[in-house]
Amino acid sequence: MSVIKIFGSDPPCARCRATEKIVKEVVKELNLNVDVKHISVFSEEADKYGITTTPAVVINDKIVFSGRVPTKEEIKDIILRELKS
Amino acid sequence: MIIMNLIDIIIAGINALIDYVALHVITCLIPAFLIAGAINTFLSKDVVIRYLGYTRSKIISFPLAAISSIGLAVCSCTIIPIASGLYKRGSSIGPAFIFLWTAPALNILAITYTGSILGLNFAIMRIIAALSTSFLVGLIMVYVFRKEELARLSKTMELKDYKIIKSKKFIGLIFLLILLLLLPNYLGIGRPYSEKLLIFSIILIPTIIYTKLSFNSEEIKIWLRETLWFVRIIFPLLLIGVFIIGIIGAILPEEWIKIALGRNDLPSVLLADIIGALSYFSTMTEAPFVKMLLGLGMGKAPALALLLTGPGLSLPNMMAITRIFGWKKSLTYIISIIIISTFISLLLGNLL
Repeated sequence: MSVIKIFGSDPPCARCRATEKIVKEVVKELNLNVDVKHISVFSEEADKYGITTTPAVVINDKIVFSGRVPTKEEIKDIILRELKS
Repeated sequence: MIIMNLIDIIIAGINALIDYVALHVITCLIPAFLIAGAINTFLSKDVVIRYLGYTRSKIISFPLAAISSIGLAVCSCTIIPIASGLYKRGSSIGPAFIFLWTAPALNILAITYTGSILGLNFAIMRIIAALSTSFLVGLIMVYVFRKEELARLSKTMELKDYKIIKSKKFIGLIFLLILLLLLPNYLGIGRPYSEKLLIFSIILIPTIIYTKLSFNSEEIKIWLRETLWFVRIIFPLLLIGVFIIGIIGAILPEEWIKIALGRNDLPSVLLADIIGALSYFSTMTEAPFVKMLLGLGMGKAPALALLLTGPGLSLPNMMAITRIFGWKKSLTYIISIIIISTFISLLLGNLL
């Protein structure tokens, strides 16, 4: 099962929560078997990806979106692109 | 002490809302929020941060950290994650902590609101004080932790070819928005509010035309969404904060303020500095709070100190910094900030 990781501040701020909500909505609409996780940007895992701005969306071990809350269309395009293979 | 009845207190709160918010919404807050939204949409923060990590020379990295904080942390919730990211991605300890201090101080919303409520002099002094404090504290941090830094920064960062400004049209947009913000207030000094609204409307027309011509509807949608995000997160807290400030202003005895914070000397400034350092102020609420205290007799130097440490530090903020950077760096930072900002406020505040 694939994982979409959302990195945000801990405790999560409003934008981080909104990003997680939009990603979960899109995953549900596309009927994908994907796990969506919120991870603290202060964790070692965030260091691994070199996260600089939050919220940051990580798919397939790379940062695909960061800095603001994405629109549904933007996230849909990104998810389809990354998880098609 | 005069005992006020509940109605008087509520009226005081409502008057504060009218003075500090209603009169500033159209000509100050709307342009400021639009600017914040544009910065968040059209600037690539990631590139700026990686560039900061790449630069070793203090002459470049220190001012760059300060200036870029205007564009990097328009949302106060990202300040600590970005500072942590800066530090861990290879930036020297100086720029990371400079950013931590200047981001809340140079926040575009806070500066414009300060200028609007307290006047241009206060806004300018606030900027100068924040910058000078941050550079001095940056130097202190670099010096105190120099051995550790030498070991930590031995690996260099890779800088790929990225664009900082996602669209050149952004510059034109920001220019027009700044005109929208400044001209009604500048040309309209001393003139009735209706004239300010007129100037605002006149400048709004070319702004809308430019936007329609330069950006596609998707970009405009994202920009307006970002702007509304800021409004949704910040504005309700501002209203609540201003209402409470109005009530405090009515209840707080003038004598207390005059005695504790009334003079522009060291004890008053230090007290204001520490109060600001410990208290949490949500974005933009420090300006009406300071205005209220000035009205009760606070001196201008303590006022400047409060404008600096109010948004810059708070108890929860100190705890987060300690969690991320450890107590040694956190303590060095906090003590340096309090001492230096007190002296700089003492100096500059007496020039106000």
